[in-house]
Amino acid sequence: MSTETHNPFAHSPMAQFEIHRFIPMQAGGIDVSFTNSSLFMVIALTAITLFLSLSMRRGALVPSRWQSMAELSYEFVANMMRDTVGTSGQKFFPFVFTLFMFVLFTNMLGMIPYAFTVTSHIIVTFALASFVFIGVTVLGFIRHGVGYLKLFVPHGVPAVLLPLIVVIEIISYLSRPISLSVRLFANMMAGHTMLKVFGGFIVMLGFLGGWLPLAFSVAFIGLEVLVAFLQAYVFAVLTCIYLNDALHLH
Amino acid sequence: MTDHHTPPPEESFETRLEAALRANAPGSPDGTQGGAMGTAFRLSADLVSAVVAGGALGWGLDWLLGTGPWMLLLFFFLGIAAGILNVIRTANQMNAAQQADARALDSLEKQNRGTDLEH
Repeated sequence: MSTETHNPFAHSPMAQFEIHRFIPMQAGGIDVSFTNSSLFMVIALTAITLFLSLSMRRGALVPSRWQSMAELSYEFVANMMRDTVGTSGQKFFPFVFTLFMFVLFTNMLGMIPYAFTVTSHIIVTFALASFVFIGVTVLGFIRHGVGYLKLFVPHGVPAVLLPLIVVIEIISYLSRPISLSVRLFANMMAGHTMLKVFGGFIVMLGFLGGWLPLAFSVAFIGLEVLVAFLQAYVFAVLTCIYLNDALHLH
Repeated sequence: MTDHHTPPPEESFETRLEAALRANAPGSPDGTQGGAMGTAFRLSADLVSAVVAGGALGWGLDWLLGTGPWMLLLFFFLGIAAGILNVIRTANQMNAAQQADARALDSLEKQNRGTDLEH
């Protein structure tokens, strides 16, 4: 950390996204080092586990504050799934809940100063999104067999246009993991860069002129907390919508 | 949770509460409160991702078949078409959600007026 203070780029708004190896490791020529990103994933998972297990330890009929927070997050995801997938999707609740909590906690942990935002790296969000994409596709083929390909053939299209439309539908389907991951990553990275830039303005303008960017920063942090929650929600909701497409062909 | 175990005695209250909750839900991803920024991000991500997917598909086909830049060009434009399709679909979903909210709010107001008249 002390080397960072001498680094002339330490105040660059992008410095916060740098990956640092804590425990260098190699596995078959692939770099699998334990990095600051891995550390914050572990912290997020630990925080989720502690939050849910400690707050549900009592399991009282009249919930305490912590217990109602845990119940609230459960009900929030359960309601969302019921609205988008219906009751037949309840089997996949653990998956969607895990996904939602992981994205939510990594987003929220990123709001703590000096913390690393795991979801600001596209490789992380893309890995999550492609897991969802591949899982949903496999599920669709298991449920409907080859009939799942009917997803690419909309109703009431003239036979002449069919080859064109099918290709466009396939591209649209393939774009799902990209849009899912880019949305989360771009939101987190843009927000955190903006925060850092305006933080820099406060320091540069000093005691006399720094109040305006300070006020903006305070407001923007509020917005970022909202975005952190909203993007976790959007990620989970879109997962549910894709799940719904795979379960109920129309 | 899906079904009420016992039919609630005040059905109207339940529905009114539900409608009010839905109408006032803060930060609904498609609502105007959640932020026009979110909507813009969502739509632009939908558009751009399809163009990227189309381009990548075309590039891959070119690489497989060795057909020069033609597949890339073709699939780039197909990608744009798919992106516009994505945007239209998302926008339709958002409109439908907004209309449902507006309808819920309308019925809520009507009910409120009805109860006002009773008193």
